[in-house]
Amino acid sequence: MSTTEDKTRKVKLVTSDNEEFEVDWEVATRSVLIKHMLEDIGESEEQAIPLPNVTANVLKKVLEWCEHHRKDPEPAPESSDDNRKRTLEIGDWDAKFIQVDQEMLFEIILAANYLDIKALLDVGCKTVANMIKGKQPEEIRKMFNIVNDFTPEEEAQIKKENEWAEDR
Amino acid sequence: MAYTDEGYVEHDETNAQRGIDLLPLRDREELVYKLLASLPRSQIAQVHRRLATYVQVDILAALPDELALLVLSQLPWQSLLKCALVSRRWRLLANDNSLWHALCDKEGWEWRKPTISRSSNLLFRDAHVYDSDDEGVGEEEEDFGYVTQSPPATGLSLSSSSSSEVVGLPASPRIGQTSSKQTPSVPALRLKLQIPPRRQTLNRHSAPPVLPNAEPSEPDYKLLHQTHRLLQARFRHNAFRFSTLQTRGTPNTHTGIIYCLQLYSYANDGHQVLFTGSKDRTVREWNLRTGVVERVFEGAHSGSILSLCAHGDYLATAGSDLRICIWDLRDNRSAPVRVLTGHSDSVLCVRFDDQRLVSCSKDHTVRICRFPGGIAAALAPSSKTKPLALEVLGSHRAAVNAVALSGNLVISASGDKSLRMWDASTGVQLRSFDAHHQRGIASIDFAYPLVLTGSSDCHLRAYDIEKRRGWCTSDEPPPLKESTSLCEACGGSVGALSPSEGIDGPSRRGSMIPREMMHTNLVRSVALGPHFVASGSYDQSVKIWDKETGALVADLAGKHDARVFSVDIDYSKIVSCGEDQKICIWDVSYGIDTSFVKL
Repeated sequence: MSTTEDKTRKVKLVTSDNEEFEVDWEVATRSVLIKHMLEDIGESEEQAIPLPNVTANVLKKVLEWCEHHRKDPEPAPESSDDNRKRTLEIGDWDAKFIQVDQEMLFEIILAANYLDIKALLDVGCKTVANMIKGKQPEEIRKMFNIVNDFTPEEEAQIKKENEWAEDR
Repeated sequence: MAYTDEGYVEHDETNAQRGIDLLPLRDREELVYKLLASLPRSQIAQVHRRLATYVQVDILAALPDELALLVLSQLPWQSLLKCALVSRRWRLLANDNSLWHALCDKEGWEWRKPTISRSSNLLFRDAHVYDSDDEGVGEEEEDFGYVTQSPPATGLSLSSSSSSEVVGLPASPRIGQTSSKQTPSVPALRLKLQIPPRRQTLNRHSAPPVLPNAEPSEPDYKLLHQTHRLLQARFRHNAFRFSTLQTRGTPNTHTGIIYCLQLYSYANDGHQVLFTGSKDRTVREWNLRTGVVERVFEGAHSGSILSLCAHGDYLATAGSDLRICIWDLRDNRSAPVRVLTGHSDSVLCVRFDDQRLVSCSKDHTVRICRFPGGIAAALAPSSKTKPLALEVLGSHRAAVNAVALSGNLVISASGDKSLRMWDASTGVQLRSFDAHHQRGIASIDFAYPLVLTGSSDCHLRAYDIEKRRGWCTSDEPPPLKESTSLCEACGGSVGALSPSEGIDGPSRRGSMIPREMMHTNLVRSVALGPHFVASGSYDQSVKIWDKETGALVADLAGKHDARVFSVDIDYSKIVSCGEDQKICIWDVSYGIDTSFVKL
């Protein structure tokens, strides 16, 4: 596929709730899944790509991310990937982008995984990790509305397991 | 009236509910939105608050395992421990072995398959040899024959103390720690009181059994991680259990000053032993579990053994007889597989890896012996016809007291106060570090990029040759003077440092340690451990320092009655030996199973 063609080419995506999106090839192919599907279909056909695991409102959000990152270089090799993993830092635009409610955050992570958009999945995971980091168990429960299903004995037991190597 | 009213309303609600249920989702959403929009702002806010918990999602629990683990893999271990307390589902995820495996990998903490104890092969032999005192450190350039005190030639005190004494605090009161930090508060003893009852569901990561019997056969990386953290905490709290080898009554002990030692783990089964080399011209291999001498290497040196190095199933020994012997640890023959000669004075230090052996001597030279095709091939009986040459790599202006090898780099430390660094493959001198200490340098350890040195100026210096900074225990560390040499062939500058490149700032001093806690005499031995470094000094003390900051971690004085000649350190212990013929061990692994910890 030549690049000039790619720039003008449009891709049709159909969500689970039957909404159709028409986006630039460059934007859609941020998703490795879509990219591979397009390769399988071949260029000539004007076939819409079904995305049965993504709803319209989530895809809209995901495409917003893809649009902004359309010019990003291809995912770098392993080494720099490791570097990124080591810090919980998220770029400014991504940080703003991911300021969504927990349901949407959850849906974005699932969609990024399904659509195979590594950088977006990374942003989603780091966002959740940042919410957890430095928090006490009770704070975590409150944040995610989690019921403590341990018995007091179990809880005491786990604390003991955790603390036997503590430096103090 | 109230009755009919109530009934009517109820009926109506049910109908409305049914009607709403029949609407498509999108329409219902629109309806709710319109209803909400009709409310005054204060009511909307009220509804918003009431709805808040409905839009919360237990994201981690709702995600598929692999994605939940991807989230948790971003977290430090402290957070994982908190996560394990959130709920059952969270505990399952936060305890996942893959997460702890990655955390251990990051620290370099390896799981070792526990093995059954090896049968020991005892070679009881004794050798009584007395020759002139020829301790390793050579003279200094401007201070020839620098000897701090005249050592007694014979009749050294052998009065070893009890062999298993818990040292809650360093014996020296000078460390100035409060009594609140004494033994009863350290994790070790808490652990003993708190060993939880074994329970099927919860016990996977509990404290390991005291007896190393119920070892987990599959790697349990959370357990490994916690065990390492406990060992580290014990180092920091000085919670050592002290013991000695060479105690009275132990058969087959050294009969002279012990100059050198090294902890060594056999590659095939991870079994750890201690090698010690002595003025009695022998090397002894100690079983650290039983305290018994398992092997004696003797009959090859006609003088004191001043240095030894064990690596990859071979042992190299260097002596005052100017010779270096290489022994194959896999065979029990009583002779070395190779003897290397070339030095014209005592060989003070020997180090080797798979590719080469380096040595240094009182004769001011550093020599190298290359093993083309690897050490095994070079030492194979079939290649015996090809003699191995001990070529000169370079020289100093005074005795070269110690040499170190890491990767392809050789660094030598000399009485002339300088360090020199060579490319081991090409033999080119890459850098020199002049006046690295204020007096002669007595000891060195090197694990790229960190160079640790000990000097007769009583100080240690750690220097990162990549970042060009480090720490020094001295108030006024000598300025870092690093120079590259000119390549003899092309006249160009060799090495990475260009003249314009400055050296990053002065060395930090190790966290302002009171002067009286510094070494007060020559630092004869230094060892780089995983988190801490150890030093042994002529002031009869062993000290532990933080590898990153140079802060004093432990002052292990009062155990040696004479000068300390050699120290080694690993994850679980510090060992030292010296003029008093004692072998001291400070252990932090007592009471816990560490059979799965790769040392």
